[in-house]
Amino acid sequence: MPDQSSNITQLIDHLFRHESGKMVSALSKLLGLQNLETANDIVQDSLLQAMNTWSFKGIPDNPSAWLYRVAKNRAIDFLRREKKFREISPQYSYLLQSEYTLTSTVNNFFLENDIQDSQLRMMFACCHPSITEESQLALTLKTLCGLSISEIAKAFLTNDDTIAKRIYRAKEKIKAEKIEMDVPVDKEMIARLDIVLKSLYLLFNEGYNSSNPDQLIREDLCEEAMRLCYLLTENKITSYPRVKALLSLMCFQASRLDTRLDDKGNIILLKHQDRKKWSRPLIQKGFDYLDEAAEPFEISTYNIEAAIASLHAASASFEQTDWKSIYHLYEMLYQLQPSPIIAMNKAIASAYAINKQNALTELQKIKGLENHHLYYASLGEIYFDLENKPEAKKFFKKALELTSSTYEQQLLISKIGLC
Amino acid sequence: MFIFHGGMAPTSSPEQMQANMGKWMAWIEKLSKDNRYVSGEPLLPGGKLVTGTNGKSVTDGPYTEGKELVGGFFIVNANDYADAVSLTKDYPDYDHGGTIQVRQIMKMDM
Repeated sequence: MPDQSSNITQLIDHLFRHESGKMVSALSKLLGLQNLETANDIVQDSLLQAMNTWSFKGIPDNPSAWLYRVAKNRAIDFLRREKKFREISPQYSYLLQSEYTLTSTVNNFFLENDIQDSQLRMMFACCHPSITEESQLALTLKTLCGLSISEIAKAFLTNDDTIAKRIYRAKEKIKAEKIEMDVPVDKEMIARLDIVLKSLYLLFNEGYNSSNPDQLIREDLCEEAMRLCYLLTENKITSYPRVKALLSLMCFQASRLDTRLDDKGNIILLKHQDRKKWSRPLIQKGFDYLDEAAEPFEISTYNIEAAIASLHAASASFEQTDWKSIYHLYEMLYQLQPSPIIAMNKAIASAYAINKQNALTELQKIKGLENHHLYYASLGEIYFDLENKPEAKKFFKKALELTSSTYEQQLLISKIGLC
Repeated sequence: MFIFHGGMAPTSSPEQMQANMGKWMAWIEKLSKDNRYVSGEPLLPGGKLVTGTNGKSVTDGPYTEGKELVGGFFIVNANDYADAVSLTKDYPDYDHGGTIQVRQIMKMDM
């Protein structure tokens, strides 16, 4: 690849993708969410025009403003043509039907503050409770992060059809339930915010947890989740402590992204990671947001998870980790959210905080992870540490059967070799 | 003269479009560095076809097929056709079904 090209890509890193999310949000607020399709078309057209023109003429001084101008003009054309202001945008119909106010009204939707507000509203719309969780994620990635259907399919290790259907169903719901880009108030706000946070959490985990041949797309998911979470922390209406806690958690986890695989793509476990290579700036951000998340006091699972992550990040080595505190935090987390996965993590922490025998007893009590490869891998690990190699081998093999990730398979095969 | 036909599908993702743009810019930059690039313009889709005596008939055109649509042109300096063709190897749209027509501009010696 020529150097110039990578410089150009860096200069406007993800510009198209991010501007696409901004413009779709702004236009959907202007035209109403029922016209999401039109908003998408206008944005696609604007990006195509930019691609064709900039390729020949170079990038303009203010690329975002250039894109907005094209999108605004197309939106104005659409509004003039349709003339159905009351259906399109009932809230703004009186401003849009007069030529005196049309252009300035459309312009207002593209001011920086307004775009942020639209993105926020779009997040709430995509995470509407009547849309299923998997469709929420797909719709968020499509509209707010500008990912194409095949990019989303790659990220979720599924095919284009599945993702297309999820998005289709979400759009049907938007029509059927007449979902608009409203910001919920009071109690409803907290409930909806929790759904938004959960979907960002899932999005981040999708990018973080499983290994995929197309690694790039996966890391993008982490980045997008962080970007949207950051937007929520920046807005007064949504900057609850739990939002900052989630962003803190993401910063801590992301600080280790570069050290989790070796040159050949093999997984490096926490114990063996080169802690000097963890990203200091991200760890610092993690601590900053964790501090901010403490006021006003509220206990959320994100606060506890971020606290656990901070203890790992603060520790100079695996051995020096404050396992007792981590175990205690997992106990709190389990009380708040009694899921088998958390029970498993608690059990693993107990291996270092108490002893291996205790970890084994805790692991054996867990129900509901019969199909989870990590459960068997953990059992194998504990048996291995307890010097019971035949049992360890049995469980590593069971884990090997259950994982589809080639990287995890490699790791397990090497473990079996040691038994 | 390079005349570009077809190219990236309008359904491409924002990220793909941006990547494609980067390749075009790199290509132009490379041609300019070697003093090959003279000028170039992208063309908007659409257009009119005027035919008949005194331009009686005006229709939308000239082509409606995406593959045949002329998307733009470059004017480059080249010694001969072989040289000109060798300059087309960095054209970014081969993978997207695009083609290049290479033509020589006639020089009038006065």
